[in-house]
Amino acid sequence: MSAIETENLVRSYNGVRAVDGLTFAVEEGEIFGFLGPNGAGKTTTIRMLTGQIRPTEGRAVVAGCDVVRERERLKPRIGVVFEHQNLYERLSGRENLRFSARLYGVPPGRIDDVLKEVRLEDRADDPVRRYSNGMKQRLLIARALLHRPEVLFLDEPTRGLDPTVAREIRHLIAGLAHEGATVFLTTHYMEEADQLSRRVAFLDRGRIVALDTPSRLKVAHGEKRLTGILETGDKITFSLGDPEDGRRLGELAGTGCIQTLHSAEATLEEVFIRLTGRSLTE
Amino acid sequence: MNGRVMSAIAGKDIADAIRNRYILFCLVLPLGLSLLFRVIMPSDEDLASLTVAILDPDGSRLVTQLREAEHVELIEVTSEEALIDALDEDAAGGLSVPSGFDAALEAGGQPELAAYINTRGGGFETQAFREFVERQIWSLIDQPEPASVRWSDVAELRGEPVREFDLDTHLLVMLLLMALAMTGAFAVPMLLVEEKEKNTLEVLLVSPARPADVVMGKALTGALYSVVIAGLLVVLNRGGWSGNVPVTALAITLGLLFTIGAGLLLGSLVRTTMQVNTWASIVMLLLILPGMIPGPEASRSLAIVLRLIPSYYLAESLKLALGGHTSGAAVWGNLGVLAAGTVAVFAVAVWTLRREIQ
Repeated sequence: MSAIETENLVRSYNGVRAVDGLTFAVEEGEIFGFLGPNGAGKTTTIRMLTGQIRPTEGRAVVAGCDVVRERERLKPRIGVVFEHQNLYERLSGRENLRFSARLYGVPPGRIDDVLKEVRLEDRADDPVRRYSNGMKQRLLIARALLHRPEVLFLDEPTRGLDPTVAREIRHLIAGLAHEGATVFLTTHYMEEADQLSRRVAFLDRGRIVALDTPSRLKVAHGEKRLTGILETGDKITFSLGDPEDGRRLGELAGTGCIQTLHSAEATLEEVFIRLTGRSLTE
Repeated sequence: MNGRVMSAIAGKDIADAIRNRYILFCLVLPLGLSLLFRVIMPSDEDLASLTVAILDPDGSRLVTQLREAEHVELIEVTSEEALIDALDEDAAGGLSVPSGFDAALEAGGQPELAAYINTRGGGFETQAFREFVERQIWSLIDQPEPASVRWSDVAELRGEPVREFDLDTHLLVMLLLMALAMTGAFAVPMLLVEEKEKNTLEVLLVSPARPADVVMGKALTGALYSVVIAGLLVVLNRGGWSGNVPVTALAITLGLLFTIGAGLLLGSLVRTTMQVNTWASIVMLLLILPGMIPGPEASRSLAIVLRLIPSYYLAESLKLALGGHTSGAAVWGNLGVLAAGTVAVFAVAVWTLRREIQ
């Protein structure tokens, strides 16, 4: 069953289509990576799927609720981690969560559970303004998880974080998937999407240009080749579809002069460039 | 609207507001000023000398005892004209003891003593004179409520229009206006605009909170702080309550609703806390102005301008209610105008907020 289904979803601003006819489905328990450069329409899509703005055309159903007609029924079924670290900084982490718990009618006992889940229990009573960026990000995830949403939207959850903290957050997201959560993840970090997502969609100028598992995308759009390093330190590449390269590989392997041999599949970044003609960081 | 959600938002804001140093300052300022006025306001003991003109044709026992009072200088006159002259000079007030005052007291009657206030002397001196008469005269006579005092302005003797002024009430009205304006027109928009500026409004709008719950949560926070501070101000300034409690409470309630409506409107029109600081200062000044200028002191043209500010009607209602004058068209007319202003400002605020949030 699909946790998210969209059909020809469009959002226009002053006649310009920021999101242009998206049709896709996200299965329950899946981490779905939604990739694209800045301005591709990722956040606009999230805002439509979470009921913050109305689609100009098309329809979307999230957790069994139409995002326009059943907006109020949808709200308790979703959790959102926004791009900004939008917390009440004068309040403590626990007070932030207590406020959310009261909004959603969640028993207060759940607060300690999520604090433990994101490893913030020791600093829970400190004002949020004294938290590091990583701690704030963990608190944002705790807040989104507090009411046990059916679908979790993560908008650029590691943007601006240092690599160690970003790795921590990815670990946390991977843990959610392990527990069966449906996660809609937008990012422009390809490595992150590759590592976490079961499937990814490439978004460019409001349109999906590719949607599949990362490995299939890489196979379909990458070069089929092997790269070897010889005893001399020289690097050698073999195209897998080329009979001549196949013969050379056999000969060299027989002489024992190849030290290492590995596949050279394309990265998602390379696939994206190949499909759109531009980089994700543009 | 969802009661649980509204109370959650109000509860969060109540805790958050007092940790915002700007809001905390605004909440505490009227209370601090009230305490300051209590300290610096001179009582009869604090004045080096209070000059009182006395007209006492029969040489009453009361005046004999007043001559022995400390810090009081008596100017004894023999005619109404001389009493007016003394008040025109530097007497803070005048007492006219009627003929047969002592005899009437001994007979168990309640003779009327005329007390004239000289508002030219300034608020502090006027207040000291009132306190002097109220607290000391009757204790000197050593008889509970032996006579009634007819208070009037010296202008009455001069045949000029009477201009009532009571410093205690004036200060309390000014502080109440200040408290309501600062809470409603500053704290409320600050809380609302912070949600926009720090992007926490989008968190609320994907939660079970509807826009109306968010707005009502802010309004509840403002109302709670307004009630607490207004209550404390009244207690601090009116140890011996002399006004009409229900009408004063009604005026304060309408006042806080009006200022909260104005605050919500302001919060819907601006986007940053810096803008709130700027615009709320102007709005607060306008709202407090009618409380700062005593009605009798206002020139005709200023009085016309003051009447254009809805808080003028709040100030007038409060002056009347605190003075115990709660019947007649004046008080209900003022409350009616204030209620109409409140409905109007709320209607515009709801319309702009609906547009803003959606």
